Amino acid sequence: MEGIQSQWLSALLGFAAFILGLSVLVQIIQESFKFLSSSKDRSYSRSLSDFLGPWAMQLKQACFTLTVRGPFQFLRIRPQGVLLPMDRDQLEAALIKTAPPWVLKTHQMLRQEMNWQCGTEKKPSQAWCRFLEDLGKADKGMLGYWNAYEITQWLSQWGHTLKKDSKNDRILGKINAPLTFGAKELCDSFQECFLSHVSDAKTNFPQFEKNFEYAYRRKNLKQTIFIALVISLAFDFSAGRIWKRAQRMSAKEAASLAETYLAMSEKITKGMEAEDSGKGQAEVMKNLEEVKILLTDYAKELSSIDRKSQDASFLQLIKFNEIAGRASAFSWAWIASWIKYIFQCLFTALLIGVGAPVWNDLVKFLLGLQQGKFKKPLPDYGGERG
Amino acid sequence: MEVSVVDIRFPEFAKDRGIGFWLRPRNLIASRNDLLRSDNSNSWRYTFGPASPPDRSVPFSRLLEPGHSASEGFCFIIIADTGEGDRSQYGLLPLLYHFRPKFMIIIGDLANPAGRIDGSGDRNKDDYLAGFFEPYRNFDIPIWSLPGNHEYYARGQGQEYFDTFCTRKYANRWSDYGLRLVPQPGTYWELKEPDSPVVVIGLDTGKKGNLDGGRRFLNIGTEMPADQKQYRWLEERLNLADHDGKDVIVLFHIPVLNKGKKDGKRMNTLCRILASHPCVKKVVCGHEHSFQEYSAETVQRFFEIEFGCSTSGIEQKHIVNGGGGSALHSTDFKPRRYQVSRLFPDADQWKVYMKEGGAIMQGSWLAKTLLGKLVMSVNRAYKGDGDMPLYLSFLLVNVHEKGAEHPYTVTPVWMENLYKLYHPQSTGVVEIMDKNPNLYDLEVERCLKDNL
Repeated sequence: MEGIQSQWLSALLGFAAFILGLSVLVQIIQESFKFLSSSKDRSYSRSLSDFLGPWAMQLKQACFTLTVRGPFQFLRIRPQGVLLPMDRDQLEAALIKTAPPWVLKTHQMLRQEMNWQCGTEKKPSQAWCRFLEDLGKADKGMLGYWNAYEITQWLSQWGHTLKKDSKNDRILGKINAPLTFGAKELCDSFQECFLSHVSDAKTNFPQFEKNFEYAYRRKNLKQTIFIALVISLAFDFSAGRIWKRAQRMSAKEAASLAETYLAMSEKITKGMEAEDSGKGQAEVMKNLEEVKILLTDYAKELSSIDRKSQDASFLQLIKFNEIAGRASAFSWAWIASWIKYIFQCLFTALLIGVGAPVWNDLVKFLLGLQQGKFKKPLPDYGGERG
Repeated sequence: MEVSVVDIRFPEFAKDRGIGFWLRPRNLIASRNDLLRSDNSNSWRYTFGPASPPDRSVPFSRLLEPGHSASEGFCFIIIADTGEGDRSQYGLLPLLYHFRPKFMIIIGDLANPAGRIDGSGDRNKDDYLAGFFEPYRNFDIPIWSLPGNHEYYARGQGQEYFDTFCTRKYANRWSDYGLRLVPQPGTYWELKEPDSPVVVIGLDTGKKGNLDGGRRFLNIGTEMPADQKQYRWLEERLNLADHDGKDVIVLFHIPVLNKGKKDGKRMNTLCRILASHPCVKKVVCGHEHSFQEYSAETVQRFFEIEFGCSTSGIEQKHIVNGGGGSALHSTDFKPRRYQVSRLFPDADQWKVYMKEGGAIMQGSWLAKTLLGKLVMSVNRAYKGDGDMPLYLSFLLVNVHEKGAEHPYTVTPVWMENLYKLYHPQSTGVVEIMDKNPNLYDLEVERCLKDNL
């Protein structure tokens, strides 16, 4: 099949290839940043705080059971960082741990009793009776006394009786269990009474998952556009300059550039997959190396436009006097050229924000048109953009 | 008057919450959140808890000690603007402990500057810890409250307040600090008992007292709706109290009468409701850090002039009761349309306060900084914020046992100087948090003023 040889097509292909290259670059930087800054975990902590209220931040202390020894730390500590995404049961267990000791203890004992009863009403176990004995000894003035008192009041609604101690009126007294009781009903009632906020969180967990996914996607997109804008501004990758360069490209040059960045894009995609499968840490370090190479290549390409005597082996930061042209500083023309430049960079950032997978497919499509090997774009872009 | 020479020991950290703390940019910005963010508290307060909240009417007996019946009589304290966590807040503790109240009600601003909660336990980032849990540690009584404007300045826009007082989410914290948690049914509530002659109704005036609704930040956007739900609930409760022939004490944070003039501009419906129910005998507010009392005649005149209400049968006093521990506001204002019948500290005492506070402030390097000078020029009360336990006040309510001559009394308690509370001959060290303070009875008696 004969390909289409047009200057416009070459320019378009060149432009798309440049943007693809930039998208890949931004993706590498962003992935590395996300890994190093625990971006997902921080986002999870924030979503959880929005979902459950500021109270959720107590989990930072409550849900870590491991201790670690960090760099230059001689004592083992509990980590106090961000919260890792938890599933429903993990979250429930962590939330319960924030309850006061007597509530926690009663909950544990009821669960134990429930397992022991296996769904049928039985007489109270020895462990339950011992627990009631301890509960009755809660002394007024002792921390947790009021929790113990409330639990006793609640138990009295479930057939338990309280007999005050005639010798010591500061303690709750002797608590007697009924002959038989259903631990399951007691446990449900206890949760409703003392841990209703945990039950609410458990019930609404699917909605929280959706909220978190949405918040994380939105955060990533914002991050992509921000990084793209910073790179565009710092290294003068304005849309106008890229388009000018693409217009000067021959069909061969454009195709070669497209193939280079397509190969790079696929390599990166494979790297991401490896990261997802748990081999990612080494990939991230490799990515950081590739950022430097890619940026240098990129600068080399673009430097051939209108800067004759620059050293393309090292990244050139923006040359302010070139942006403003010959206009004198702080004149209207000077301001206009800067505004134009900023808008062009913003446009580049928005194009990059569309995502590397989209540009990858577009470049493949345009390359196919040029070379006469047209392939249908993939139906599903999949994965995270940027 | 001879003053004792006891050495009163405050917790070490209480001295860190003075003017220096407020001048930190982070806290300065947080405490002025009313200017920076829009007020939607009429909507926010209904998003905190479950869609169908529990019954907002709770019997007094739930707050009393087990086995103690409300008909046997009980006493409680009404206090406001406590939450600075500094020495002036701690300075009231000996008197609070002395009266052994069964419970306490704080009418807002209990976690200054911005009702923030921080999981790390850093008191400089956790206003509830510094302004509420630490000062009232081991008080061993239930404490109910109403949200003030500062509680709405937090990131959660009041959610922190709701979680602390209306749910069991922070039950562990209450337990750790030796306080009895009895969750409130919401941010506004009622305390009553079939046998009790008095009903206490607490209202939530939100971030700016815009119960009638109001425009958003910088008058942009749609108008915030009025809190009709709260108004309807209040009407219903007052109708019932009128019917039962009970006396009602209404509490809310932002006053409608302050410094001799009308204050709450967007609480007109609330005023009309209050003016139409003879059962309302006392309206107690906070927000302004001083004690002001407006007589029943003045309040009648206020309702007639401002709202054109007929006030036949209305006998209600308005009290601004904001001297609960925060730095005082000036009381040397000019007489205005509505006369203040009792004022504490009075103009002369205010001069003493400013003089003593000013002397302390002059020694502070912060007062000499540009920021310090700027803040003090905006609000001159800062010039006297020497963090001293002087001229503080609260209300002591005694509900007497059934059949007593006076069913209940509301007594203002004015503390001029903490050091005067101890016997002039006493010496030695006194821990401010000692739960059994050895106070000089004669001087405590002097603190009790004529009943309202």
